[in-house]
Amino acid sequence: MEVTSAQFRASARRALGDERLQTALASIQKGFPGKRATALEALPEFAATSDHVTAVRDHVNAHLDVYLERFEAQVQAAGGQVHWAADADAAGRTIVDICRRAGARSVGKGKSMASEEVGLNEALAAAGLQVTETDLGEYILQLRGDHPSHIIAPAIHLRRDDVDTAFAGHHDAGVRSSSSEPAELQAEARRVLRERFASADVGITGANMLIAESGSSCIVTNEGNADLSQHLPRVHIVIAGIDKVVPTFEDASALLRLLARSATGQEITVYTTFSTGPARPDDSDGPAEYHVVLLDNGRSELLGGSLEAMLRCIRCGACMNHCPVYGAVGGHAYGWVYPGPMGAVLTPQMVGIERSADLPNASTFCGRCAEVCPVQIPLPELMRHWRERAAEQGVESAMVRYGLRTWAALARRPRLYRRCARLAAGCLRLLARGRGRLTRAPLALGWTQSRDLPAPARRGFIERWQAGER
Amino acid sequence: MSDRETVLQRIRQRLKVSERAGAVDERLQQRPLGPVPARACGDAATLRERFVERAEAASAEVRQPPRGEPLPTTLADLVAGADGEIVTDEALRAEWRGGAGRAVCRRARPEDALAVSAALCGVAETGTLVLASGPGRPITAAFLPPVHVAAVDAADIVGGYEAAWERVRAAGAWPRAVTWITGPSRSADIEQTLNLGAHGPLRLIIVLRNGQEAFRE
Ligand code: SF4
Repeated sequence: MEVTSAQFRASARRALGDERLQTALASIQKGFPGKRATALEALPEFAATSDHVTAVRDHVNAHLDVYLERFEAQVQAAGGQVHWAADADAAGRTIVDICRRAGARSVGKGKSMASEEVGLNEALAAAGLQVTETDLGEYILQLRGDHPSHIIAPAIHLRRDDVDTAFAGHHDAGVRSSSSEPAELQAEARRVLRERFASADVGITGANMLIAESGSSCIVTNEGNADLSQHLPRVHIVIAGIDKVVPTFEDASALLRLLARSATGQEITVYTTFSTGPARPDDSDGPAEYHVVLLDNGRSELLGGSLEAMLRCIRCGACMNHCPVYGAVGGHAYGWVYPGPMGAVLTPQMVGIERSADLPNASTFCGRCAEVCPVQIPLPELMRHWRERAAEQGVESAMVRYGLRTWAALARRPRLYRRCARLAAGCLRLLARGRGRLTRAPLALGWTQSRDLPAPARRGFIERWQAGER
Repeated sequence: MSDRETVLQRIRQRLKVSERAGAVDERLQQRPLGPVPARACGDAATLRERFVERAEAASAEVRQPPRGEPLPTTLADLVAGADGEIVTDEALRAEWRGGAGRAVCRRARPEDALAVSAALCGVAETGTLVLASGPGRPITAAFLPPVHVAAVDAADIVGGYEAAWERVRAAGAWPRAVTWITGPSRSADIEQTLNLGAHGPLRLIIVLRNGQEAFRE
């Protein structure tokens, strides 16, 4: 996927003016946070579980090489194969190779952020494979040539008529539904995708966790699509970041108590499946081949540094559901696979800060993201880290650079600073025309288009201090 | 250098620690428990009640037939409504003999209308069924047909997920697939409107029985 994070400002401005998107975003912020709060209330042990899982994640990160080796050995013992991918290209190549060796023509794919990260669909298509996304949201996006705007609700930016149009352009008249009711459209996708599930040669899924003790992959869905992709085809390929390992099923259980509650406010997703190796000789069903592709792609560089906590992330999406910036501009403005606060930390790591210098600024520093993060990642702090790196490397956006430099020059000359401030305040008061607030301000349209700026007081603090008003 | 060595070397360089294998193996062997929630604890009657309540909250239908009632009787309405073969576990096939409906044990197909599985256990804390693949146990049965039935014995209702893993560990050779199922399939991908029956079953029917531990044969 093309990285457009450098155009965050322009994209954000467009998003703010997009009425359809704004309606969709309002529904996220109305729905998810309330459901999450209710689910947490019903589990008094949530905080203790969060402490426990956070410690487990840190323990694994501190021993990551060993856990990966143990995991690998167990996959092999169960008859599966492990492939290592240092970067996105290696992951794509590896998966294409597995498909070729299996003589595959069609692939059914479950939702996987790691696969989005490495541009897997493009790699498979270039190799002549027919790929079908099977998660309903991802399937709709694939038909539209669109990208996810949320990590757990990928098509959140679309409305029913967008879906209807996409289906009309790709489905035979015989399977079309009679209305654009969501239930009807969902049933239509079900009719079309059944055959694809049954005929796919290869099933590709992501993983929410990899379990070291047994070499298992764990994937959760509400639709059941990942299950159809891993139990039906002849070959099952799992693509997962190296940060997905947990030691035992007991640890996996604790983590699962946090995941769905934080994501959708469900107690648990409908399907949680643990796959270990290929089908046994007498099994009634299951794939003949089981592969796990372990993806690094910048993750190992986070170890041992000030961003290490990011490797605890369980991809629940709570940080974006509670983020006022995400809520205002949506996922696409972030310009790459991972949006919201977690994306503002991960994207600079994976695509380079010079291509995403605006993202660490996409924050009001209200701290909600860190509060709701089930693995206690101090997201605002990590974003601050990137802002400092951007400044060091001189890659912060032109607006920030120009503004800060002017401010720094003025700040060193207190008298001039005060005169300028008084002048600016006078101008702003004029613009406010006595209403006490501004709906438009020069050089700050991005701010005032979506919120009002209070007009400054007639006399500033320093003037009043000097006049003896203490 | 292979990608394997590259990745492992990167990790070791960043971590700057040497001997850590001991701590890992110890943890893998001891498998310490995290906090087990209060809702996962209680006597058999409490857990059974909680299981039913949580399963229904997740839109599963629960049937509790009288002791000894064969499945074809409990499921008569479903059998009447479904044509073709009924996909089932080997352990349950005997119950169908002589009754209505043709029960077969095989991998599920897209055209199948009804499947009946035996669950390894039920988890009270969230009303979750635990199914495992194996010889005579097609896991595809739980996903393809629009109506899925899972039979579980009251003696196999456990409190929490940790207790469920104990059951899996005790059942012998590790199954290729262990699946937790909580209610029927659903999606809210179109306008956040929740609808049942996305790709998996539209209906999940749990038959909670007494003294009929089908999974263990
Ligand atoms: S950073 Fe925390 S809240 Fe955000 S997706 Fe990751 S785990 Fe969830």
